[in-house]
Amino acid sequence: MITIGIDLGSTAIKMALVDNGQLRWSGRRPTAPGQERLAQELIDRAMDELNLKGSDIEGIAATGYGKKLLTTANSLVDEISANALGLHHLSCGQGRVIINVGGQDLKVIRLDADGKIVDFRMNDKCAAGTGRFFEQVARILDIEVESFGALSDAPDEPVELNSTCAVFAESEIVSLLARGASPASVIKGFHISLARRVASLVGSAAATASDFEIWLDGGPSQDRGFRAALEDELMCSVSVLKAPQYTVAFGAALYKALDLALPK
Amino acid sequence: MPSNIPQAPSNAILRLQARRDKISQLAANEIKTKIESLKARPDYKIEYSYFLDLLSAPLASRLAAINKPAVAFLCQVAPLELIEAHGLHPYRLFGGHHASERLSAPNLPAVMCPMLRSLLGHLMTLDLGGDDSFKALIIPTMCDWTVKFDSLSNLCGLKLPKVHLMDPSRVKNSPQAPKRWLGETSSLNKFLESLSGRKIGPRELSRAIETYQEAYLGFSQLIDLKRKLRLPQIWFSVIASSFYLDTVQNWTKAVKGLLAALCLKDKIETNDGHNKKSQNVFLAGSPIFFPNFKMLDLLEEAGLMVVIDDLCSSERLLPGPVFITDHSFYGLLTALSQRYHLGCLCPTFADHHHAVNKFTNIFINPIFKGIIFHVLKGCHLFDLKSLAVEPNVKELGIKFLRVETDYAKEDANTLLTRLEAFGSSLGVA
Repeated sequence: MITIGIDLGSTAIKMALVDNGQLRWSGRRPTAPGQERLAQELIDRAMDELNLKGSDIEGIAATGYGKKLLTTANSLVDEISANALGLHHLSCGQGRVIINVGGQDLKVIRLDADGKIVDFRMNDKCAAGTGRFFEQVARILDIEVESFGALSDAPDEPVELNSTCAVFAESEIVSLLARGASPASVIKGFHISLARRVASLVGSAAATASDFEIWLDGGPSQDRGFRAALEDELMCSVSVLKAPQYTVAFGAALYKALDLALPK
Repeated sequence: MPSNIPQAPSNAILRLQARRDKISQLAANEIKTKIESLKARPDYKIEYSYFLDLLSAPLASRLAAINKPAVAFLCQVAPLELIEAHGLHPYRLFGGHHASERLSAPNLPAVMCPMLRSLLGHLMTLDLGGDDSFKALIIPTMCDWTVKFDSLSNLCGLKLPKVHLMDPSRVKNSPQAPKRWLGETSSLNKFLESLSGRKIGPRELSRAIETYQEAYLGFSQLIDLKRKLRLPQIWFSVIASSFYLDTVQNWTKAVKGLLAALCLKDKIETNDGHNKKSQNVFLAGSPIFFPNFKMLDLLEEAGLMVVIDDLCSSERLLPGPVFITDHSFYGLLTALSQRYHLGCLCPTFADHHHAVNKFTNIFINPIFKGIIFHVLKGCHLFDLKSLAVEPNVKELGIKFLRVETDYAKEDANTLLTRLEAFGSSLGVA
């Protein structure tokens, strides 16, 4: 059974094509006006590359903030449920806490052994701790977000970033750079500041967590410096999938497959 | 210059007036937009138009149409029957406009109850001192914001009418509490005597109690229909929000008309609320006032059906039947005071375990699957109550979602995500 999951997020549209529970294709593109067309182009690309016909696709599930914009989707699923389902499957049932850093929100989802959602928390109206915050810091430093991980390997001492607010952090970073702080020390300070914020949302769940119980996903989770800072703050190991930006889209595709498999 | 020559208003006053007019217009637009969206709903019935008309009319003209001096109050602690018995019209002051907050916010603390911030902004547009809309204001000292309402009003440049403070016991179950509530009710009676210029006896009070019993009867039937999934929360809230905008007799008559229409139309349906496919929830926490139905709209959008609530703006609007054993004036006053004391579920009480117990006890009822606890930012009492309730209900295996928000719409998307995920976690289709 082939199903498609499309995650129409605030910064990127992600797609996962799932064949009998296995990820066969994934792709993404930046969010821009005309989201339905952009999503359709992703679907067309996947079908082209995999040599599939329209009739091969048994269902499409949309998720993310823009899910209602995709009229070709025959199922809608909220991103928290899609994330939970996707990660439970991809972590082979080991995940108990998901830390999802999205484009404009930060979610912490707790799961039970069966992958059912026990609890979840989200940041309030605030960009700190979200993908937007990463982009903002990259803009100030005039570097790519993708280079954050490599920069954090440098031996520079981290700066102390006091602001947890994205707006105040911007002026603080500008002021630190003016006083001669290196980009690497700023990135390290940023990772620590962000890790503290995330840890406050995770709460006590980390205290008793074993290996492979806490998972980081969403685009910024590919930043190894952030992951290391988070492990340091939570004092436990944090796992990351190979393609963490597709977990939600994968979960949506899986949701559709499970839905189709249910007796009607 | 002789002082009796009228002075031209300064530029500052003119600018302030222009700002008030602009905010007034924005607030009126909020109401208009909400009413239009309600009328466009597929479940709209002509019988709702009475309630919508009340909500869309300017407050001053509504109160004038009632043809009785109005006495405003802030919380559901002042016995409505007592005000009514004095020939006065009880009007609960509330703020539901987001636009009005813009007028009052510059004068107020940055973090405060958005409902009262909206109310203060709304009062600033009404020019209270000028048109004498209310004869007096009763302020029960239930939370820090209401205790300081007079000061907050001063900060906004408002001249309040006569203020009467009610200071009922904030320990609900102490031996002294009933006496203190009765003392405050008697003191209110004296205050109302000074306003109406006459003493009332058991006949007037008894008649007022009967009038409100009649209203409660209709109201409780509406609650029953809501339990049976035949009256959506959004319409229930419309009806509740309009309660003070007409005489209680007219409102009760309109409710009876609506009940007849709802029951006639749905006579063949026997839905008892046990719909396995609907995601029935209990809505608790801070009050929700018209036209700010953001939470109610989002709940519907997320497919969650409110079948029970304990909001003082909704199902707790009327405290319920008054049990009378002594028909003397003192006996009636005592019964009334007891009804309001025992019926009050405000989280203001120090011994709030009664409220937590009520939550856990109510879960014997199987018609809903989870609790949504609505906390308005700055509403510390409900914030604390949510923290007390959460572990208790979760221990019973009941799903619980605390949602903190304000009147702005910018968090609608993230709230919807949470509500949808909560619906999914209830494990229903």
